[in-house]
Amino acid sequence: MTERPPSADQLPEDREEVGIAAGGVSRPAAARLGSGAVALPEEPTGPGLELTYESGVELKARSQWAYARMRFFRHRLAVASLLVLVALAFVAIFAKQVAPHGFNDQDLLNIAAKPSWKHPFGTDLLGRDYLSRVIFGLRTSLWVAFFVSILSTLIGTAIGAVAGYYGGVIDNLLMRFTDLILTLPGLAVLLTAAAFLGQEAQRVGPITISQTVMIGLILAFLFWTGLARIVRGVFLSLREKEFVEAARASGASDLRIIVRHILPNTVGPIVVTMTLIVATAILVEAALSFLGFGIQPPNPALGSLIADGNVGGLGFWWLVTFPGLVIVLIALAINFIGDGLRDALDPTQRIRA
Amino acid sequence: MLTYVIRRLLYSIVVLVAASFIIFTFVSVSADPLSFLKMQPTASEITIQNITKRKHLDEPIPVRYLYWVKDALTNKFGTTTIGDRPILPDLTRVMGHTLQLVVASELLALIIAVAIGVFSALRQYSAFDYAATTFSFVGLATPVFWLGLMLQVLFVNIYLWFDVRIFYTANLSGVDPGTGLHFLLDRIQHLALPIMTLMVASIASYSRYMRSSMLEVINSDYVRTARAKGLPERRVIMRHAFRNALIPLVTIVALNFGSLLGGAVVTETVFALDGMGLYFVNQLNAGDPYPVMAWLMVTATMVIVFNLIADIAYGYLDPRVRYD
Repeated sequence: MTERPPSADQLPEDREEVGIAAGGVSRPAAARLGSGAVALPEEPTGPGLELTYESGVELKARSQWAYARMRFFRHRLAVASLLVLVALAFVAIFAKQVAPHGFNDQDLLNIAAKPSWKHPFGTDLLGRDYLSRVIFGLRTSLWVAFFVSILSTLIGTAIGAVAGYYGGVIDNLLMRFTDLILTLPGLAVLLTAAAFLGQEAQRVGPITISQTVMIGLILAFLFWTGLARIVRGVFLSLREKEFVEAARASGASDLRIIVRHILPNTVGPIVVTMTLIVATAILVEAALSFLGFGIQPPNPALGSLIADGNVGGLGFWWLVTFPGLVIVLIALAINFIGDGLRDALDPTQRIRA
Repeated sequence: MLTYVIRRLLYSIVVLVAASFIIFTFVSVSADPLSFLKMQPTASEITIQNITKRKHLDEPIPVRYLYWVKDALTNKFGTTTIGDRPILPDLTRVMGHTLQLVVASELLALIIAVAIGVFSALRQYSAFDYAATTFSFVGLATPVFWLGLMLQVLFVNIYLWFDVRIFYTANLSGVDPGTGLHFLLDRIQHLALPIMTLMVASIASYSRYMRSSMLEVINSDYVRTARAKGLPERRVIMRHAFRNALIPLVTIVALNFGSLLGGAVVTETVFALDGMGLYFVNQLNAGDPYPVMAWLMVTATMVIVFNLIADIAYGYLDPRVRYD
C-alpha cells in the first residue's frame, strides 16, 4: 500500500521481469530476453549464468527468487518490520527463558505497582509482573495467528486449486460454498461459534483439541475464502496454457500438474495473503479475547490482558496500554512485511500507484 | 436490472436461512438458557417445566428451529426464554442508539477521509501524503477496543488529576437526556468518545480508497482533455475528477454502513453503550437463542439491503457497469 515513486526502487531490469512473473518461475530471467540476440544455452542453469548480448553488454542471470529477494530487501520499512517480527517471535518462543518472572508469579509487596525498573510494565492487581504476562500473552497470540494463517492458507489453496483446475460442476459447488461462507454474517458466526465451541477443550473421538486450538480452527474456517478465490482465478487462466498441456501429454498426473506445474505460479499472491491473514488474525483474536469469547484463562492472550486491565475506573493505565501497544506493533510490522512482499513477488501490482 | 435484483434477493434469502439455521443450532446445542435459573434456589421445578414446555426445549433442535420460525413470523420474533419479555421493543431501542452512533461517526469520517484522500492525491509524495499514509497504517493496525479504552484512560485520568469532566465515558440511557439543546449536549458528551473510536478505522480505510481512486482519475485521458481545453484547474478537479473519484467510495461506504448497523460490537461493549452490539453480546452470554436470532435477522437483512444498494448505486453512477 505504500506508494513510492517508481524510479526510487525500480531495478534497471524491472521491465523485463513483468513477463516472467506472468509466465513461469523456473527459468532464469535473462534466458527469456530478446530472442535472437541472446545466445541461449541448451539448458538454462541457475544463478551465476553469464549471457552476452551481441552488442557486448554483459548480463548476469538471476533466478526470479533472487530478484524478489533483492526487491524485498530494498523496501527498508519491510526489512525493519521483519527484524521486529523476528525479535518478537524469538521472545515468544523462548518466553520461559526471556521473561523475568513466571506469568502467575506474585510479588505481593508490589501490588498494582506503576512501571518501574523492577517491573518495566508495572504489576497487576494480584502483583503479577506485567512484562512477563505480556510476553506469555504474545506467545499465545502469535501462535494462534500463525496457526490460523497456515491452516487457512492450506484450505484456501486446496479448494481454489481444485475448483480452478477441474472447473465445471466441482468448481461451481466449491465456489458456491465459498460464497456462502463469505456472505455469512462473519461476526455473528464467529462470536456464536467461539462462544459455544471455543470455550473449553473439545473431544473428537480419541483426540482432545485444546481450547486455544479450537479458537484457531474457528478463525481459520472463516479466513480461507479470499485466498481460495485468488488461487482459483490463477488456475482457471493457467490450466489452458501450453506448458500444462505439455505436462499432460507427457503423462503427468493431475496431482503432479497441480502441485508441480501450476501451483508455483501462485506463490506470490499466496505468500502475500498468508502474511496479511496473520495481521487480521492477531486483531480478531484480540477482539474475541477482549470480549471474553477468545482464549480463556489461565492462558494469557494479549486481548484478554487488556480486558483484565479494564478495572478500577482505568486508573491503572499501564495494564491497558502495554499489551495494546504490542498488538499495534505486531499488526503494523506484519502489514509492512506484506507490503514489501507484494512489491517483491508481484511486480505487476505496483504499476497502479 | 430488475431480474438481477430479484436473483440477488433470492440468493440472499437462501443465505439468510442457512445462516439462521447454523446459528440457531450453535446456540441451542451448546448453551442452556435455563442454566442460570436452575442455579437459583428459589426457582421451583414447576417454573422450569413451564418454560421448557412453552419454548419446546424438550424437542429436538430442528423442531425447535421450526417453532422459532413460526414465532418469528407470527409474533414479531417472539419473547425471551426467561422472563417472557417481548424482543422487538428492546431491539428497536438499541437500534436507535446504534443509529445515532453510526450515522454521526460515518458522516464525520466520510467528510474527513474524502478531504484527506483528495489532498493526498493532489500532492502525491508530499509530507502531508506520507503523514496520511502513516496515519492509515497505524489506524488499521490498532485494535478498535484498545483505542476506545485508551481514550477512556486519557479522559478518566484527566478527570482524576484535574477534576475536569469533558466527556462521559459510559452508559447512554442511565440519565434522562432532556430535550432540545440539552439532549444534543448530553448526546455529544456521551457519544463523542465512541464516535471518535469508530471514526479512526473508517477514516484510515476510506482515505486510502479515496486517494487511489482520485489518483487514477487525475491521470486519466479525459482529465487531460479538460485541462487541454483550458478549463481552470479548480474546475477540472472539482467538476471532472472529484465527482468521478467518489464513485468507488460509494460501494465501500454502503457496505461498511450496513455491517456497522449490526452494532459496532466492540465499541459498544467498551463504552457500555446500550446498542445493537452490546445487546447481541449480552444475549449470547445468556445463551438464549430467541433474541440472538432476532438480532441476526435484523443485522443480516441490513447487510443484504446495503449490499444491494451499493451494487445498484454503482450501476447508476457508473453507466459502464452492466448487470445481466
